[in-house]
Amino acid sequence: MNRYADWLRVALIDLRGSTKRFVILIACLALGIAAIGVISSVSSAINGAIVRDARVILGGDLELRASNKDIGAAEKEALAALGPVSREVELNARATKGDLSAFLSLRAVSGRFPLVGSVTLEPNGAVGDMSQLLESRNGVFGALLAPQAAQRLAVSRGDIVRIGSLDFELRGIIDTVPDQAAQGFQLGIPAFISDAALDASGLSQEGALNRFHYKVDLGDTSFAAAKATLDEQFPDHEWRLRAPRDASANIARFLDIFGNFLLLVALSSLVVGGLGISNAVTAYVGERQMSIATMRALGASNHRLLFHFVAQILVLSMVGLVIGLLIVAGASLILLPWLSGALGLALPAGIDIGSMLGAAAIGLTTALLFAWLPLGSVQSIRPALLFRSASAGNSSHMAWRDVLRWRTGLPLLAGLVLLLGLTVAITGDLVLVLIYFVATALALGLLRLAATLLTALLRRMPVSSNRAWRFAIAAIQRPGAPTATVLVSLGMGLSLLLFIILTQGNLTNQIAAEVTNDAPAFVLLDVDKATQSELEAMWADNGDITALDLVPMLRGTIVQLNGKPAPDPSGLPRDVADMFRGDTALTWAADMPADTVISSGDWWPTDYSGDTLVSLSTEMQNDLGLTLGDTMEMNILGRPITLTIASFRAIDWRAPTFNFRIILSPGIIDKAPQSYMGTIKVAEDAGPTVEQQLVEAFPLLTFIPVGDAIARAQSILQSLIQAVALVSGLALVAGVLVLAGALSVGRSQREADAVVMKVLGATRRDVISAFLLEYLLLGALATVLATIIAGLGAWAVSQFLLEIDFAINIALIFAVAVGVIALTVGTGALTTWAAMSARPASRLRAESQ
Amino acid sequence: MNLHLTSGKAQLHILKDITFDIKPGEVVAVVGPSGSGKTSLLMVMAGLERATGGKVGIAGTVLDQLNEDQLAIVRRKNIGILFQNFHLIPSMTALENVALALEIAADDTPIADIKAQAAAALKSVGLGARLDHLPSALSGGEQQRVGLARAIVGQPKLLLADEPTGNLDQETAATAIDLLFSHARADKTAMLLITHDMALARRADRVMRMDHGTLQEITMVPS
Repeated sequence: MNRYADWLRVALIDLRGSTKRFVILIACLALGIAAIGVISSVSSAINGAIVRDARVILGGDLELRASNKDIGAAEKEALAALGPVSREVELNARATKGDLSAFLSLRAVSGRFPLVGSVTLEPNGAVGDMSQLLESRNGVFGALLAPQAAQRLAVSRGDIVRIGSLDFELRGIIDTVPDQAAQGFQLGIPAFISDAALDASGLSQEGALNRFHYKVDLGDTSFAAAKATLDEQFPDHEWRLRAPRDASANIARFLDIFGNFLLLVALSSLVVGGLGISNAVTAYVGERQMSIATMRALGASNHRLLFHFVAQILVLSMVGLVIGLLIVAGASLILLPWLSGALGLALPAGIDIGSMLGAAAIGLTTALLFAWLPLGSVQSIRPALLFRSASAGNSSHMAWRDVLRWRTGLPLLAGLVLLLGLTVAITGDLVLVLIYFVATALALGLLRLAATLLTALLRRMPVSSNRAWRFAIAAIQRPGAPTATVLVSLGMGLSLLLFIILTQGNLTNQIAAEVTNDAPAFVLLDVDKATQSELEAMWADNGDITALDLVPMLRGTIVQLNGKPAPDPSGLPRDVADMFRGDTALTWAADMPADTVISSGDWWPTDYSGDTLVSLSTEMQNDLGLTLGDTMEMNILGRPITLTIASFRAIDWRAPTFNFRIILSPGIIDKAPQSYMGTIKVAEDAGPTVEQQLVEAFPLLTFIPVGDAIARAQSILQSLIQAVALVSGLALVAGVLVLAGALSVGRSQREADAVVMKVLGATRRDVISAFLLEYLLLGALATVLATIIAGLGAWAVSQFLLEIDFAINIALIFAVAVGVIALTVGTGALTTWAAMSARPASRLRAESQ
Repeated sequence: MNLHLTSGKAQLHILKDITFDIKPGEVVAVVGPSGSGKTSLLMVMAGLERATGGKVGIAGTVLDQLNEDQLAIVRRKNIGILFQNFHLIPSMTALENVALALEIAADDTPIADIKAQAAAALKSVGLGARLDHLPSALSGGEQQRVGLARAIVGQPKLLLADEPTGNLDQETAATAIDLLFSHARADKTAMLLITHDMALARRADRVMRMDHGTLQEITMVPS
């Protein structure tokens, strides 16, 4: 041990005065570790909260969900037998105060709500008894509104607001709701009334889009046992049961996808930073050749030399590691409380040691992995170098066969496997990590191959008559030129920058309002037959309303397919699985809806009145293996109906119209109780006027201003965009550092050559012109390749990971790439100009000593 | 001319009131102990160092007021320099190193002609068979001959040689010096030769001695 301690001491002494050259190495490592650590730490906190608070998120141990129709008395008794039950009815409604209105996601709750946790109000804190707070006092029921609704209506505690056809007293402004995270995206602003008030308000109507939730505290009974009991008692039920893990599954799944994407961005910044580390170590070893040769001449073994330089790199890496971890700690303490409010989860500010250790391990492994080959070249430096002049050039290049030797290759392989393992441990997704590693290796390989091909091509080109061009080409294809290193560094750094810009652009486009000029102003829900007639009359008389489009909407349960029981949804693709969990939406139509694309089969005649036919979406055709002529049995409002498949339709879900996977032919279904949903288009700038008219004429009508709904979705996704921007920012800095570091490769030799050229009579312009041409050529090639790499990467992430649309703005990409290359090359040119402006005498003297 | 250089916090007076000239075709040797200022004198004459006082003129051009680029142009047109440590570019072959001097000097000479002249220069120093070898594949003597070829290929008016045989063995040094003198005489090139080899100095037309920054002509006793 003493021996190694001595060696370490000598290594640290040798590092004196050299630390400034490692600024890029330390910065690259710190940024990469910080990015990974922050994402990992935050994801860990969120997942921990989801697991810890799953019961609170669900609001009980078991949740029964029924749509459109409440469960019967027998079912309610059965639930009560399992344990304390809370009931809530979820629906959309509109609140008004004078001329102001707000669209609400309303929950009418029973006295026991919430079973787990407490609702808290501003500024008073937890609500003890919801039923007491919301009860009727002097004939007026109470309501709780979220702050946005109170602001929209300009009301405060104690004021009266109208919801539906009933006045409510605002009894509090909502701060937190324990199960809010499980609600998912809501079209309206959260609000609470009592279930007694709902019955009195007239908002609850048969056929309306009400959702009934029953939450049960099972005590010691397991969810499985409770489910089995209910399934046995009610084998033909149409409800859906959820356990705590199911409620949090959606959140966890969504956050997993996003978290993994951000981790990949962070890992990319570390990989690109690794190139910066490799370049810095290569330059360092190159400049220390004489020292290494001297140590060898004095008797130092390979083992000693390797230890010497590995120790130095380790010490420097530790500096980067500490800086990175400090950033992780600080960022976690700031981010977690902010995210807590945004996600509706309890995320106390804290530092996750596991995540920090994981980030540190990944960072250190990456640093050593990228430093290993340049450090290994130390072994090829011979003492004979001491007896040769500087003109003989460096001898520190490692041949390919040396890489394959076990001493070099085995640690490299071990490092790769370790990095792979650590990344899988953090993401939990082996396939994703493998794909990422293969893609990165391919990108590196592509750039390396391009460098080889470029060099070969330039060697075969006829010699140019232009001197600067000749010098530039000679510098690129000369033996020992750092062309490959520069091209790989430029290419990967630029790829990372372009990838981030492309992906962020696609995310932003996704949430930007894609409302076309043709989009409706309002979406109508739960329209009954009477209101339908009145709306049509209003349309006829109101010049501001340019179009009214209503479609009938019912709900039914798919019971059988081709005579066999409906499949288990857990084995179905996500697209159609939800259709088999409880009931699903359907409609009927005599005429084929506009813009319908029939992919196979035929639409029925307008006057068709035979056995009920059905037209299904192509997702159902593909995922369920259905063909024309197959049968489907559905239970609609308690009545079984057998349907024959007449056609399949390809549906564009992004079109601004209502679409249904299931459309029935008329004849039987059109006579069933049903509600309507539809859209209203208005003349330009007539939106607020029409909204006011609708509120006055139809106080019970549920309608959503389209712009409002999109704004709510945007605000949620905007938080995610900001998270992406934060991590992307770190990655961007790493990318820029590597670009700057690419210029440092071979700089020492380049400056020495420039001095000789100056002695021979070359002006600064001669040297700079050649330099600019050399780097512009490399930069142009790097730009083309980086655009391809970044484009493919962004496409893959958009399509398969984030499942968003992919678009590429070539002009923007080109502008960014050209700007970055110009900045990098320009900085290098300025540096070279400065070096060329100095007197060569001092350099010549130094080399003569 | 005078030259002051700063070393650490101390300012050193390297060249003190030096006045001399070299005629076309004349060979002047400068001898003196190490640290006497011989190399500094060469650097000032080559425009690689600026004198702190006085005037330096090369082929009718006064160097004092010229900027770096103008000095470079003067060098490429008029001066060839031969270094003790060769200063070849390690990634260029012998031919490319010699051709570089011509490429810098001549904008519109076809590259084929440049390469031909460079090859001829290398042949004249006995390296006709080593045109495509990198410096790492050449011995010290061969590298010095490449340096010589590079210094003379442009037919400069003034050749500055700084200890050209300092890193060579006796036999190789003799060969190199013969080549140096034969080219200088043949092209009528003025040459300033820095050396501490007195035998070599005797071959010059004049010998100057540099001692603590001052320069004096001395008379050599025939050997």
